[in-house]
Amino acid sequence: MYDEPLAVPETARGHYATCAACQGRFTGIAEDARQMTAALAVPTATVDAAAALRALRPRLRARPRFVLRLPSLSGRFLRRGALVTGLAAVLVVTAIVTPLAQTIRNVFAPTQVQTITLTQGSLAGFPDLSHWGTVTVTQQPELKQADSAAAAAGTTKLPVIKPGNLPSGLPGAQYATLSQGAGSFTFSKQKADAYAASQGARAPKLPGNLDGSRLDVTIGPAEAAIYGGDLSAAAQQGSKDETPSQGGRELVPQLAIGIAKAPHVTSTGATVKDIENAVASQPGVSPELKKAILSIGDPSTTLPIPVVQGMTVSDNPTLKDGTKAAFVGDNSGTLGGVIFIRGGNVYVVAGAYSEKTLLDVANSL
Amino acid sequence: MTVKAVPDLPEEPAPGIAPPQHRAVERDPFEELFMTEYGRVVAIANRVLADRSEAEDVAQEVFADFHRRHRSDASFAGAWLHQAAVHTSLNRLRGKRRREKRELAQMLAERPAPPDDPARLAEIAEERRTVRIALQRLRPKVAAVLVLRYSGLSYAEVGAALKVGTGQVGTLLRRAEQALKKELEVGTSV
Repeated sequence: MYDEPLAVPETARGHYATCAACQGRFTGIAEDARQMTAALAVPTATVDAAAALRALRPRLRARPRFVLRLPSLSGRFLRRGALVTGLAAVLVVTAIVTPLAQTIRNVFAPTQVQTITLTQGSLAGFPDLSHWGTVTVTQQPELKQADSAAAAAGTTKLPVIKPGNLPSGLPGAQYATLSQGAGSFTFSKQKADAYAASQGARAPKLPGNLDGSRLDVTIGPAEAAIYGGDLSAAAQQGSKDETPSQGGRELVPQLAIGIAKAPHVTSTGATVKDIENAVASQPGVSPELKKAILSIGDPSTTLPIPVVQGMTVSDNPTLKDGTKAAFVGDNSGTLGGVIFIRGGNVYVVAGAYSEKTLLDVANSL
Repeated sequence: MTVKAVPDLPEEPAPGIAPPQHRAVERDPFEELFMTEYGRVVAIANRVLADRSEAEDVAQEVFADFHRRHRSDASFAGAWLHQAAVHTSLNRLRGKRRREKRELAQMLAERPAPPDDPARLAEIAEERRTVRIALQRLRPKVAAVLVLRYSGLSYAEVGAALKVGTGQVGTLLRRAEQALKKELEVGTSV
């Protein structure tokens, strides 16, 4: 009644005119509102929107699009060798950042996820794996569109993506598959020593069996259902040097559901202790990062999700079937993802929705 | 920018030249969104930060984020921008240590009060500082409903930004007012 008096029906007005209690309540609300208006008063900000847009334009062209976009998996991306970086990242996550269990010689098979919080600084300061050895791609994953959820599942041999609960207003899904990829990392003492020297640090003492030891990593296959965004345009953009703002055309999905076979790692020689020692002694690894590594509960079965400080993280939301999940969101509270592992597969439900909505979708898979 | 008037009647295409499929030049959807919402996004950020310059920084960040992530003509564009403006501003507010000094400087530059009244300026700066500290203490959603409403958004717009029904906004606003009032009382009694 105070905020929007015209919206109050005539009958309510009639009641108000004769009710002392309502009049008293109205007075209280009005007084509070006056106090709030005074408290929250600020000098008016007059703006020049056209000038502000001109100032913003260069940033729009310079900045990369959101990391979830599909062009990052396009053929051009793969051809340009960025896969090496991608595999390196997987190696970091699965073999280096994770203090693998004593069973590392045989297999790393995560069955649960856990977030580890890092600062931008510690992430930026993490050395490139190529400083410690050689990263080789042995099997390049291939991204393809699929006609349906069933077709995608048929290709990948993964469960059919068939959510029973989706937010309203979503457009129909497009489907994509990513074939299995594989790579290896061979540790080189010579490279590690050279890198340490280049950083002005003393070459760390490393276990003898680490030199020449090889980690083999397998990722995928994977499948995804993309709601909103233009998959073909995304793929097309991946093969052209277009700016991201082409006519405002949207390449980023409103919601994406992905299923991937959990990454798998084997080792030809190094033990968990060897790798831990190697990581801990390398220049560039901050004490904070070491601490984060060691904070992981059961490393043989845990897939760590590195999260940058400042992002929103929800600790251990649990799905209806008891599966532990992780929720990670951006700092604006508008974009997030739920990640969990079930049946040896990693599930991701991400989009511009609240944690609850994303969990509802995850629960319906 | 030069604007050409669109003639009332279609021109005859030159012989042998196919007429264009779309006669009207479409405005860039992002530009349209920016020109519509920029002032409001700045106003929301300014309501939290009480700093026009920083509010414009926040608005630039929010629009750049939106551009990276969403279609410019997305139905939720306005609501997304409003919500992001509040959250980004509150995050900045929490990270700032030099606010008091800057507010005083801004006050000296912008306040229509007589320049020979430093005591009053200091008092206003202190009041604003207290309000900002109280806002920081509120839960993000509580602070957001206050900031959005007192930035001039309608109940429907506040509801859309916070993903709640319009009918809930009045109740949320009332509770938020009480919460801020309580925080201010705590702040001033210390």
